[in-house]
Order: sequence, then C-alpha cells, then structure tokens
Amino acid sequence: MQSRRVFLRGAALTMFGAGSAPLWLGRAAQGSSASTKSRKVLVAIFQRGAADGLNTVVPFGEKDYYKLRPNLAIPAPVRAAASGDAAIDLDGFFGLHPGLVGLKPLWDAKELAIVNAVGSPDPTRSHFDAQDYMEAGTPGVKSTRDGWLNRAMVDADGHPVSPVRAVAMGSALPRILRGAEPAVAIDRLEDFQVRGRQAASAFSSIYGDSADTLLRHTGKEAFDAIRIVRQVSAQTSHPGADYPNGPLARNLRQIAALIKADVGLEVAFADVGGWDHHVNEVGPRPATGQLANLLRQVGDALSAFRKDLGDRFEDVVLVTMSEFGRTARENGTRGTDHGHANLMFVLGGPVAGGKVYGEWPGLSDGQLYERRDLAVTTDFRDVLGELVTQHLQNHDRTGLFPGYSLSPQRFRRLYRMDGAAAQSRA
Amino acid sequence: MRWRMPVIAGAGRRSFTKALCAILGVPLAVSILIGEESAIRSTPAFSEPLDEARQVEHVANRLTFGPAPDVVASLRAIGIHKWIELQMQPERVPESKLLEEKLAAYPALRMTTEELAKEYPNRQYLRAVARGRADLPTDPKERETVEALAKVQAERERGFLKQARSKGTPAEPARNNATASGDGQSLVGMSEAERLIALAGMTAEERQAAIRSLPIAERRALVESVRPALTVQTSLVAGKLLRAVYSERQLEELMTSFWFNHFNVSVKKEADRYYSIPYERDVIRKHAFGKFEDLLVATAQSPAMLYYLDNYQSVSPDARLRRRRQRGNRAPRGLNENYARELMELHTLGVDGGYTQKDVTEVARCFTGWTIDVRTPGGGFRFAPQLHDTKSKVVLGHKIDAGGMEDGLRVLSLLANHPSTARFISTKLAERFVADQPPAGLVDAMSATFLRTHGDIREVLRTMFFSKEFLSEGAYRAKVKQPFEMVVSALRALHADLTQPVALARALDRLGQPLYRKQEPTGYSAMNAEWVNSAALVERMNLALGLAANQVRGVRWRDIPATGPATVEMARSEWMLPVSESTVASIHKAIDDPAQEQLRQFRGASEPQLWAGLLLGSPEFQRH
Repeated sequence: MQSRRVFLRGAALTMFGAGSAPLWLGRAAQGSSASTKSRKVLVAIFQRGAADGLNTVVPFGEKDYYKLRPNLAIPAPVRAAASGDAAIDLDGFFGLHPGLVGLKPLWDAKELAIVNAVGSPDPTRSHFDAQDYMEAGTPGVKSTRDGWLNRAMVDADGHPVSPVRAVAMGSALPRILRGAEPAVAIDRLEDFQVRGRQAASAFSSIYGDSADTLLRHTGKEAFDAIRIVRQVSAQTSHPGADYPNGPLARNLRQIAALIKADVGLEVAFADVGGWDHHVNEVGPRPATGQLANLLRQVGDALSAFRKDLGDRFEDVVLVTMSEFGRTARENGTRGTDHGHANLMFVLGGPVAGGKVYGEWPGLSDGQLYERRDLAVTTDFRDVLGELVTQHLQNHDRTGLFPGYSLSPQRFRRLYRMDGAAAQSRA
Repeated sequence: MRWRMPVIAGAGRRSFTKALCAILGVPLAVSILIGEESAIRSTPAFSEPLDEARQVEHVANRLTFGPAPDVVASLRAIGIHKWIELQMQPERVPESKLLEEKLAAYPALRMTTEELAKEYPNRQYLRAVARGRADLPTDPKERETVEALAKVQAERERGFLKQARSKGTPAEPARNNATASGDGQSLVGMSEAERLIALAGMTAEERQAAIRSLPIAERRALVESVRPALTVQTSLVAGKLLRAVYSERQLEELMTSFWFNHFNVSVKKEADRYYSIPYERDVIRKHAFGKFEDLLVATAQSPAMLYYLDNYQSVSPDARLRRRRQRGNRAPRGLNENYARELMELHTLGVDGGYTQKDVTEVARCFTGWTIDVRTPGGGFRFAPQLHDTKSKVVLGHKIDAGGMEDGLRVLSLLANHPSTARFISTKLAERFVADQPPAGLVDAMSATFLRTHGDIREVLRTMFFSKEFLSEGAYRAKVKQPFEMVVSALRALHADLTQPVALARALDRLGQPLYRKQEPTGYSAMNAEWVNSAALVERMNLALGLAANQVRGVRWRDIPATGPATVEMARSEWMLPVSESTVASIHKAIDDPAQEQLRQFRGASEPQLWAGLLLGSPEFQRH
C-alpha cells in the first residue's frame, strides 16, 4: 500500500516538475473547485502522561467525588462571588477547573464541547501501551503500522499534495502521524530551512541536477516546502491572541500560522507532557499546584489559538486526548494513580458546543471500573471517527480504525450538521 | 510563493490527473514509471558484475558503517572474500584500543540487570522510598545514597509547584547545613551521598548554577548521580554510537543493529531501559552470527522482550481464578496475545507466513507462565508453572502437549525451522544488504541455506555476500542510508573524535531515527522510501554542513584539505564516494557566484569545510 502511494507521489512530481508546479496547479485548479480557502483542518493534541480528567472537568454535582478526594477535590462553584478556587459552572453538574477560565468564553459561544467518560476498551494502565493504542487507533493491537491521523487524510491517490499537508510540531514524527501519506515534523517554522544562503543555493542545484531520481524528487519537494514555510513564519499572530509561555502555546501559534497562510495544511498534531501526577498533584489548596499550572497553560493557549484564527476557526476542529484517566480516589501523596476513562475537549467553528456529551457512569463504588476508575462509556474511536468523517469528509469507515467499523449510530453528534458538512453535500 | 490546493473529492481528482497528462502530452503509465526506482533495478542488473575497483567500494560501503582508510587498505590487501570471512568471525578481529578506552567511561554497559537496578535506582523505587514504602539497602552507605536520591527526586517532582510559587513570593527551600552555596567546586570533593544531600538542599536555580560552574566531565558525573535512570539510557546510546564509529568489527555491529531492530524493544517502555543493556550484549550481539533458533529462544526468554510485549503478565485463564482468590481485588489478568502475534508476524513467519488468529491464541497459551522473576530486583526469566495453561494446543497443525515450559520451546523450534521463516528472514537480510526488491533467485538460495543448515545465520550471510547478485550493478548504491548509518558514516569519513555521543544522538532524533526509542515492535524499516522525505532531507543537509564546519556538539575533527577540489579528491579516494561531475559543477557555481561573494563564509566555515559539508549532504552520500 505504502509503496504504491509513494510511487504515485513520485509520479505526480515527475509530471509537474517541482517549484513552478504548485502555482501553476493552483491556477489550474481554481476553475474546477470551490473556494480553496474553506479547506478543513483537524488538529489533535495529546496530553501525554494521563491527565486527571476528574479534576479538569469537575463533577461537582457528584457527592462521591468529594468523598473520594478529600484533599484534591475542587470546590463546587460559588455562585455569588467569583472565587478563583472553585470550579466554573458549566451545566449545574460539571464545572471547569478554575485554571481553565480561558475556555469559558468558548463554552459560552458554543464552540467548545466536552466528551466525558471517553477512553479505550483496552484495560492497560501502561502509558506506553495506551499511548501506542490511541495513536495507532487500534486498542490491544500493537502491530498496526500507521497512525490514525495519517489514515484520516483522504488518499491523495497520485495527486500532488501540499508538502505541508500533515504537520507534527516537534523534532520527530509521532506514531499518530506515521503512514502512507507524507507528513513532516517541524520543530520551529523559522528553523525549517537550509542554514546559509550559499549552502542552500548549492544544495538546491546539486539535488536539482542529480541523476538520482528518488533523491532529486525529494530534494525538490524539500525546497518547495522550505519556500512555503518561510512565507508562513513571516506572519504574525492576531493582535488579540495573547499566547502564554510554554511549548503548547508555541506549537499552537505555529499551527495557527500554517492554517492562516493557507498552504494546504489538513491535519496537525502537537503534544503536551507532564500529566503523570502521582505526587503533589495539587498545592496548598486544590485549585493550585502542578495540575493547575498545566491546565492554565492549556486553557490560555487554546483560547489564544481560537482568537488567533479569527474567521478561519470555522474550518478548524481541535480535539484533545490523553491515554487514560487517573484513579477516582486520591492516593496517599496528594496525587492520583493510573486509571481508565478520561475526557476529550472538542473545539472549533463547526462544533455543537456548550454541552457535555457522553453518559456519565457515576463514581459510586459499584459504578467504578474495577472499583477504582471512571468507567468508559464512549469509545475514543467514535469521537475521532465522527470528526474525521464529518469534518475531513473521509468516509472510509473501516480503514480509519482497522478492526473497528465506524457506525454513525454511535457518533455523539457533536459536529454541527447545519455547518460545513451540510455545505459540502450541497 | 502562495499557492492553493484543488479541493479533493473522489473521482474528480482522477480525471483531473488524466487531463493534466493530456495537457502535458505525457502518457500516464510512462510518467508513473519514472518515479519508481525498481524500473532501473531490473533482474538483468543483478547479473551484471561490478568491476574490481567498484567491488571494493561497494563492500567498504555496504558492509560497514562507512569506509575508513584501514578498512579499504585491508580489503585491498587480503581481498573481499577473506575480509568478509574475517568480519563474520569477530573474535578473530582485534578490537580498537581507542574504542575500549572510550567505552570504559560507561560502566553501565558492563553490568547485569541486577547490578544496574542496584546502581541506578529507578523512579518508581525512589518514589516508594520517599513514601516510606520500599525496602532500603542494608549497607548504611548505600542506604544514605538511596535516601538522598529519593529526596532529590521528590524535589524535582515538586519543581512545577516551586516555579509557580517563586513567581509570586520567593520560595523558601528546606536547607541543611551541608552546603547551600551555588559553588559547584565544593561538591567535587564530597562523597556521592554527601553531594546528593547537598544538592537536595538547594533550590532549582542554585542547583543549576552549581552544576554549570563545574567542568564538563564533572558535570556529567554529577548529572548522572542525580538522574540514575537516565544514565542507563545514555550509556546504551553512547555505546551504540561509539561502537559503530570506532569498532574494527564493523559487520558484527551492523548485524547487532539489524537483529536488535528485528527483535525490537523500546526504552520508552520504562523497565526496558534497564533490560536493554544486557539484552543487546548477551542476547543480540552474542548470537548475531549464530543459530537463528538460539537467538530466538534468547529473545523469548529475555526480560526485555517479555516485558516489552507483555508476555510476563500473560497467564492461563484458569490460573486467573486461583489468583483472584489469593489476592482479592487485584486487577484480573488473563491471556495476552501480544507476544504470540508479533513472534509470528515480525520475528519468524512474516505476516503472510500462513498462520491464523487461532494459531495466535494457541501460541499465546503455550507461552503462559513465561514471565519475569520479580522476587529479586533485576530478576531474569522465570517459568511459573502455576500460571501455565496445561491443556494441549495445536499450532500450525502440530499438536503441542509436552506441558510446562517445553510448550513454548517446542513452538520456538517449530517456528525457527519453518520454511516461511527461512524466506522471511532471508528477504529481510537481502533488503538491508542487497536492494529494496532483492532478486527472487537470491532469496531462494538464502532460504535453502537457512533450511539446510537449521538457521545458521553465518551460512545464510555467506550465501548472500558471495552471490553474484550482491556484487552486481543491481545492488551497487541501491540503498539509501538510514539516518544512523548516514551520521556514523559522516563521522568515519571525517575521522572525527566523538567526545559526547549523547549530544550527537539528539541529531538522530531530528533525522527521525531516535536510538532505542522506536515505539513499535516492527523496528525501523530498511526501505529507501521510509527515509527519503523532505523534512528529514533538510535535516541531513544541515547536519552535514554543521559536522563539516565543526559546529555539532560532541564531535570534533581536524584534518581539513586546503581547497575544494582537494576535498572532492578526498571524498572520491578515502570516502569511496563516487561524486558526480554535476555535483562538483553545482558547488562551483554556487561558491563562485559573484552575487554570493559576501556570503562566502558559512557561519565561520572555511571554503573547504563548506565543500565537505555539501558533499556529506549530497545525494551521493545518502546512498551506500
């Protein structure tokens, strides 16, 4: 499969040559397509280390929550005075961790949905295995060669595709984005170039004139990508977008720049680590400490990302995931251990937001999975499957998650059907 | 340049391609073929012999991590045949003294798992110590060290909290009277425990300042003493790079790399950090030229593999009931098929090797009870009869009812001598050493040798290396170097001194081949297409320029030819690199371009250095 696609990709480049092709192709294509600006983008964010979902979206309406976490529980919202220590009420039962205050406007604008009690049917509590399964999209099966985010792209089928169609922020291509469709890892857009103009010009000509077919093509592709990315990095973020410090914010800013520059980006990926809070998850008060600091970074970064995109937010869906959740009960060191179900944030213009999706399994002893963890009521593949099907318009229901046939009946309907999906049907 | 993509949707695109072909006057089929390499690596090319000079060039490139002058001299002196024979008996090749000196700095590489676990306590253990839930060493000195480490670890885990606090009010760290000054020198004379206690008493900033004020060598020792688990991993990485660059036993290193990758485990799965050192040394390298079945059994019984593919926790469903009764609410465990599946798909038969899901389950049942001895730290393989499924099984049509550990051994023997395995292993070897699509005749011959000799790896390699196909036009420069091969061959070409292997290893992360961190059990692909993509190629070009300009951390080299043309001469004669005239012309054009006059210098690199960098980053150097 892979060799066929790579082979066709090579062929396409041969046909068009490189360098001048994209421009030429762009003009040629304009007659045959609708607005190229409405290109859809799916952004996936992985919280590595198993984030504590129960303290991220707080089930303050559940008294067992307070019983299980005497030192860790975030207090229920205080309606009168805005307290930075209490959960931010969403629907009278769930509330955001106060560190996520930046997400509240998105919730109010119905651009943010939450899927709760979501996870993998596989029972593993190994970070390594669970991340592997979630990136491959095949719980319990390790031999899957590629990642679901790569499979999420519609097969280019020999068509020339943008060199930056799929981008992972970072220095190595992660499991989730490996596969037949070309994908690149870029750490910093401004560093994505051959250092030294003289060297760059020499390399460009060495590769351009090489008799080595494979390397000549890829060399040309590389210099195309460099030209594109150099344009993008010159752009600045929207003045209203106040990105915080930290790697996630930096990566979201770069993803936003790629989206706004309209260079053919379809899927993007970034990860954020540091969630494995066995010890001192919370500080002197439950709403402070390690988790609170991380959540504030995430909330502020996502909020800035949304502002930065402006109107382009209509074409973007961003989804967060973490390999599993943490124990419902706090442990003896002001932390939590490896658990089971977690939650996903889904945000974007086409998202039917302002709602917590998924059945809530409850936290009483009998309701907990193996009497310790939040139970899974939504398979993570049904959430991702809905987004890939509806947003990216990839209708391959069996290929996205090998061994798992997607059924729209299981979709949570968090994608607005009056939005982009309906448009594309017209 | 700003460009837009056509909206892609279904059948419209295919006709669009056709239309473009029509516009350009290119027949679709022909244009498709141009992109495919195999078109020029046809079967006849594998019967066209190389002349003698290129035979030496080919062997010096393909069977080492890059030609070094002594390799080429030796090849010329004793001939290709003898040189290969000698390399396949590494114990007869005296090892480089320089390598031995450099490896001496990494004591972890010589330790058993048990010694590693003791010498470099891991995070879980230290966390348990901090919680007062772990047994401490009886030796008072060791106990002191472990307690200090646990304190440092707890401190680091609170780092986030501390940073946050210090933004508002200054942190008030717990101090002790050992030292709290930022002066690193005072740490040098202390015992390890004293030093750790001192470090634990500092703030993060003080600790960093103290560490920075030390000379590099001391700094490494200090960081290692504070982060023991990391040291195990960095030792592993350093060992691999140093051996590849300096070892006289180049083919042994290549085969070690090949088999480790074939039987991949990953240090991303925590305990495999500790298991990987003995695994590479005592399982992989030990059997690299031996019998395949011995290699297979050794991997199957290694804690590295038992842990990586979960077999250590695979138990008979009947045994689970017994366990539950004993241990109350412990998580229920049962059959885990991971190892069984990968054993057949990746280690032996290959995915099309003719096994079914039923076989996977049956094999998994045979391996129940093959586990890791957790009764002592760093324990090894253990067969636990009470966890074994004692009923009879049928694997690939063979009844297996020996019972006990023998079941697993019978399966391994069956698989190791299976015709599908012979073919799968032969194909994979030929894909690495001959070409992406090796000629069928060669694979047939190798498979026949494999079956005739009961999987004698050395014999299979002989069949391959001494075949006409190996020394043919079809094989010549047919392979793109993997990133590790590219980096090491560049160092060997430059006669570089590798002073900080771990710093260089970061370059490999950027090239897409992080060492020992391949997550999937598949290992890295040896196929050209896997390694040729735009982002990785840009990284290769930059690394080549940096290496040649002596700007890559951890690597230094001195012998620089005086001129560009002299550099090309060196590349052709010493690197055994057939530099094309078009490449030389391109470099001349760029360097002599008057418009670029003011840019002549590449970040302080001399002109010959720029030439060397462009040659190392050229398409020619990416192949071997």
